[in-house]
Amino acid sequence: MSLRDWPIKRKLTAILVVISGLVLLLTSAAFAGYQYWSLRQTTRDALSVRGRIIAANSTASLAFSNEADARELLAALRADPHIVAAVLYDKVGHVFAAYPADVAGNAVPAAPGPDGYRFERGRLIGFQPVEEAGSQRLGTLYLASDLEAVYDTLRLSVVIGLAVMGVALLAAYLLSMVLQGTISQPILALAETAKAVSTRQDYSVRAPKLGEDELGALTDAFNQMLGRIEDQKDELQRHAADLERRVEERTHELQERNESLRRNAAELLAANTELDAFAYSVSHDLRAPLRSIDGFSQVLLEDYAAQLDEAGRESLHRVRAASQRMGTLIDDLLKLARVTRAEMRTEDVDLSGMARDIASELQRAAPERQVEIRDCPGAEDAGRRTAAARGPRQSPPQQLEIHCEAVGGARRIRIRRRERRPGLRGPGQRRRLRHEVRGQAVRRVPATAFRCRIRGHRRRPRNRPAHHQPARRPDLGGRCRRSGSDVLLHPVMARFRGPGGSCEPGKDPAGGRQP
Amino acid sequence: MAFLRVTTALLLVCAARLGAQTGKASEAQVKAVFLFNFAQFVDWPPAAFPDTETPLVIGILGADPFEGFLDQTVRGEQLRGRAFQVRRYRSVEEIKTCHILFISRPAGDRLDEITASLKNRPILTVGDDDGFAERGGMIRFVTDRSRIRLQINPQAAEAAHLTISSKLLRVAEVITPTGR
Repeated sequence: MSLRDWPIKRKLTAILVVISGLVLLLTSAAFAGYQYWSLRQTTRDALSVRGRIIAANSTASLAFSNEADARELLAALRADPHIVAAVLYDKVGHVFAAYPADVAGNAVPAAPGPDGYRFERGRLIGFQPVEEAGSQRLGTLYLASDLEAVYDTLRLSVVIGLAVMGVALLAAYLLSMVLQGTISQPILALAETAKAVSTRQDYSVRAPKLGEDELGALTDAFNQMLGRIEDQKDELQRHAADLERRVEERTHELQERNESLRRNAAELLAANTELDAFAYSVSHDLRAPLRSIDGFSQVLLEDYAAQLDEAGRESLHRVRAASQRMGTLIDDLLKLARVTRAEMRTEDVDLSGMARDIASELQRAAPERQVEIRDCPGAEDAGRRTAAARGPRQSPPQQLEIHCEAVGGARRIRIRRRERRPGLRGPGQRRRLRHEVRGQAVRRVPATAFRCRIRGHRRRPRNRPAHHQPARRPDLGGRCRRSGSDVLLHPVMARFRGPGGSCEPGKDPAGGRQP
Repeated sequence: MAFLRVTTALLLVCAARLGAQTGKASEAQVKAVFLFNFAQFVDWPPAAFPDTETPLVIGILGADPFEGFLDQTVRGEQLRGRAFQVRRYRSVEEIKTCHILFISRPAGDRLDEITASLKNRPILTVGDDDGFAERGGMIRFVTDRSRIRLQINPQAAEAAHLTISSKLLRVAEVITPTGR
């Protein structure tokens, strides 16, 4: 574990102990240095004093050449175990007496050196002049002392210093253990609080404040921050709850609306079914009077033809024709009812074939009418032909017109795609041919909307009474002159409404009506 | 080769003579130095020095045995600002001012007279006769196996108001006169 990962308690304790140890070490080193220096001085002074005393005492010995006395004087030095050698030199520098008596000749200088005391090769040596006060010099005293006294004292000092240092370090450690709490406790409390906040996401906890120092200010700031975060979190939660409530309300509202729409649709469906049933029953009910009209008209024509003039007979014929047509219309209505009730399926139809069938049926119904039928093959063929003639980018014909000559008048059904492209508006595209079906099956036209025009024109009776005017159909827009069976329009319109198309009334340029 | 031998022999003879001379002169020299050194270990009464300029006089009564070494020793020396002076006397009557008096052997026969006449005068009497200290002298040189030792009679010195340093007493043999 590196130093920076240590817990703050240990760091503080270590810092305090290290500082104390360093201070103690420096103090001890300074003290030991001073002691060493002062010990050397003291030792030198002591040796100097001793030398002066011996020199003073040995003046007579030297003056009167009494070696025995000199040796005795020097022998007194044995009281000091640190004196390793002492020599008295006479006036001319010869060795006069030496201590210890058996000292080797090379252990002491053969001749006196300069006066004074100095440290040499781990020893303290000194040359002291021997002279009686106020007279000439009698000789020289040499003293040599080892430094064991110094070293002994130093050793003792080091041991005492180490012991003191150990005790002081222990005291510093114990004190720092106690006192570091004043610094580490608030920090640890802060760290504990921060940990609780991060692990439990609980912003309501607060760090305890243990003083008014910088750490106290830090604790205050931290607590304030926590308070602010808590407020903001509460606010966020309030907003979230509000949002949720509003979403629920909206969902509820939408559900209600959906329910209402579903109810409306069901009502509409029921109304529609009812309407169909009504139309069916009405159609059945209309048949009986119509048959009576036709039957009694026939009776009149057969039994009372003689009593009627030409005009009367003509009128009766017309009555019969009209009632028959009415019967046809009622049949158509019934068919229509069946058709609308049937399930609608989408399938490919051959519009060209259908048109041919219709044409041949019309021909058969009215063989006296001259009908020209110009047929064109299937849509694919036409499309291919057009593409071959105009180039590969030409799309299939967009217009599909159905012209059919209905009984009693011309009828044209035009179905075309609502989306008009400028390139398709050439004269060839806009041709309207009677009884021509152009294009392709409705469902195969790749379009989203179609327009269906059913145009019929028929000779109107000039003297039609007002109540014979065609009924107005405001829901189909504008005037709507219907002739023949407009009921045929309904399945067509329904077809186009079915597969994503639309059928809407519009203006027909040729004078017909458009659903 | 013969010349070399002769030269060597001559040199050896000369060395032997010189050595004999040095040894003999050594005793006189040592005694002269001792006489001079006594001045350092003896205190005279103030009356012995009328003024501060009075020299310290070393006198020799009788024949001079020092062969000039004494003059040589004291030449240029001073003690507490006083110069040394060597005087030679033939009789006691000649002695006026004297601090250290060496009584030579020929005068030894009349020693009792001399000490009696010098009694109570602050003169340190030194001699080398047998029984010099016992007979009223103060310091005697004793030649012992080529060494010179000292005998001191402190009572005589005390009678003459002289103070002999204990250091001097330590290196000397203290004699107490008997039969007085």
